[in-house]
Amino acid sequence: MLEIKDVSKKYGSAVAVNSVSLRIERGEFFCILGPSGCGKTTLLRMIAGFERPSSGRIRLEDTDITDIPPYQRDVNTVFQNYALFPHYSVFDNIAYGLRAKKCPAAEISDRVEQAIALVGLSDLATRMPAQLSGGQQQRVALARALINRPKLLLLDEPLSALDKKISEQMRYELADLQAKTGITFIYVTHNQAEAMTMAHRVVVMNNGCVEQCASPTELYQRPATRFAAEFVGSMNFFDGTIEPMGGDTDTFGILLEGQAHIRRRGQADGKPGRSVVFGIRPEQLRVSLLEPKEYENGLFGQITRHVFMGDATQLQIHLQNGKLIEVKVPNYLLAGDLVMALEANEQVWVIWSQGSGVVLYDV
Amino acid sequence: MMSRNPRRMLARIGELQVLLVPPALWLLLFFLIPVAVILAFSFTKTNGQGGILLDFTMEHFKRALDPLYLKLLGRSAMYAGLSTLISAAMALPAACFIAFSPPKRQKLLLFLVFLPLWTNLLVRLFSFVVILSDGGLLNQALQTFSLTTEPLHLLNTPFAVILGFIYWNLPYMIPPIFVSLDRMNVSLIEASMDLGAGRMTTFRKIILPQAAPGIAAGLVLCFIPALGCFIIPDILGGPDTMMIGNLITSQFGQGRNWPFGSALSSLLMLLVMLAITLYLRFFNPATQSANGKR
Repeated sequence: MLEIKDVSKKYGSAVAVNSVSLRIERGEFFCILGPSGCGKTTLLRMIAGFERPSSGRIRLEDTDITDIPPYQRDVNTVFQNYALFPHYSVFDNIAYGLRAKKCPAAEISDRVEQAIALVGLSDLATRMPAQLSGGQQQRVALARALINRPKLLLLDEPLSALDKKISEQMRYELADLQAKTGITFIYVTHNQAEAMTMAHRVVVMNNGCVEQCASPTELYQRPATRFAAEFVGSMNFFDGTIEPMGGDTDTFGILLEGQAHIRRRGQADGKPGRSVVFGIRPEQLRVSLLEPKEYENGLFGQITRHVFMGDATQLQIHLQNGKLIEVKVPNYLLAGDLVMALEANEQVWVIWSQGSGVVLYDV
Repeated sequence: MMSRNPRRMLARIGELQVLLVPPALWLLLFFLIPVAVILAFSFTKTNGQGGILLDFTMEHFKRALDPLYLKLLGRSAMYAGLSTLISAAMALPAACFIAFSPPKRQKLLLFLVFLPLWTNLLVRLFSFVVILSDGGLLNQALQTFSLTTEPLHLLNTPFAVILGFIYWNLPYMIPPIFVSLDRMNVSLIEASMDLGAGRMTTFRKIILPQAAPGIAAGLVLCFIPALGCFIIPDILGGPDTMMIGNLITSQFGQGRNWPFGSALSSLLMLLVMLAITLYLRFFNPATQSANGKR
């Protein structure tokens, strides 16, 4: 439905967006995720028409919209600060798009009523924006954009200005709204939790480039790059080398940090001797006083820090080879106030299954 | 935070009122008393030698309502009004451009707007004489390029006076409009275009209402001084461009008729106050800007 092809945006010598290609399907809730300055907002502004790409094309369905001004695109935006017109009432704000398109007055009032009801603001139609709370302003901004029945709705960090509780509640409302209207959403955020909870697919951007574009599960389970792995959740990384084939064909060996041998289920994606990065998430690790079984991997170390986080305890473990790693242990294992009754400075095995973790080849 | 204790709060307000004493004294001494004196003078008789007789009369007000003088007043309002409107029309795009410029250029442009105020108005007006006179720079240029054969008679015409007013007004018109636009959130313009409104509609429905409080302030700041101005018609105008300000000046000067001058001044003041009251009634910048904030 939307095809972004080789789009770049340069400001002088600074490259904000670097040759990005994406394809977004009809009816999709698509998320652009990245840290500030990664180019996600610039990309969104090019889709909206506020910026023109330095190179590359953008197609919406069968039309090339690269050079079409924003007011002729079938695309609407929910702005980060909502950008409600302060001199118009809620009703007039929402009616703005229809009036600009010269809709008949009767149709305008019908559709505005519907849109106001859709976002649950029926009692507030005559209020001015300054008289609304942040959450209410947010809903007006949504209604104002959705009433035009755009092919594409762009949302630029719409929840970042709201309180945590309201913003979490709005996530579900947004997802429901998207499902109900069937409009394709492109949602820009730096908040990975928002991306994970709402999106069908997420693209992770960094320094103007695409790091990975995948479903939230795929992104979390099989991050393609070190950046994607670290930006979504957290991960422990080890430098490694693929070891020569052994007799076992179901697994292959990786030498971590030149010292520890581990086994990994599956086939190696490279010749023995190739450098890789092995990554594993803190919650995929467990700690034990007992040695790992033969079908498990384990590293020995000492607990150097306990961090109580409510639902889990984060342990920092100083491995024998000098490396520090994080292990997240669920708090149902609390005994007294200590997870598994483990004292600080206790020596433990850090253990994971041969199927856990990811091997990153392009390093 | 202010204390919640009402007595202490009152005491605080009392303390703060001390700050009002210097300007209040100043205004009393140099504004209210002179205005009262002028008002009182306008009801006294002349002694025929430039002095006054303390005798009540309405004759000066009756005389002021003579069609001859009303015509003068009408002309003043016309010149001041026309030049103020033209200034506003010129200032609006300029203020937009400055408000939407990057901060560094913004500073430079505002500096340039204020630059004329560094020089005395009289000096600047004489430079207009140099430009506009029959043998002046403009006519020389026009003749050099054979655009005209005869010199255009520009100086001492209503055109020159209105031109002078516009020139005088601009530094007072641009800043208030700039301020109201600078306060505006630029994404309002993007939102308008995003919702399908073209450039003209966006200007009319978003930028203009946001600029309105500034335009309102600019209109007042320019119209009122222009209405009573005498220097500009004096230097750039001719016998046909005499304004109410010139008449008043002459009554206090060569005319030696202070009571009549006072009556004219009082009348002008009354008119201005009436205009401002009406204007605040129908076009209140305070309520406009309350909604105009981000």
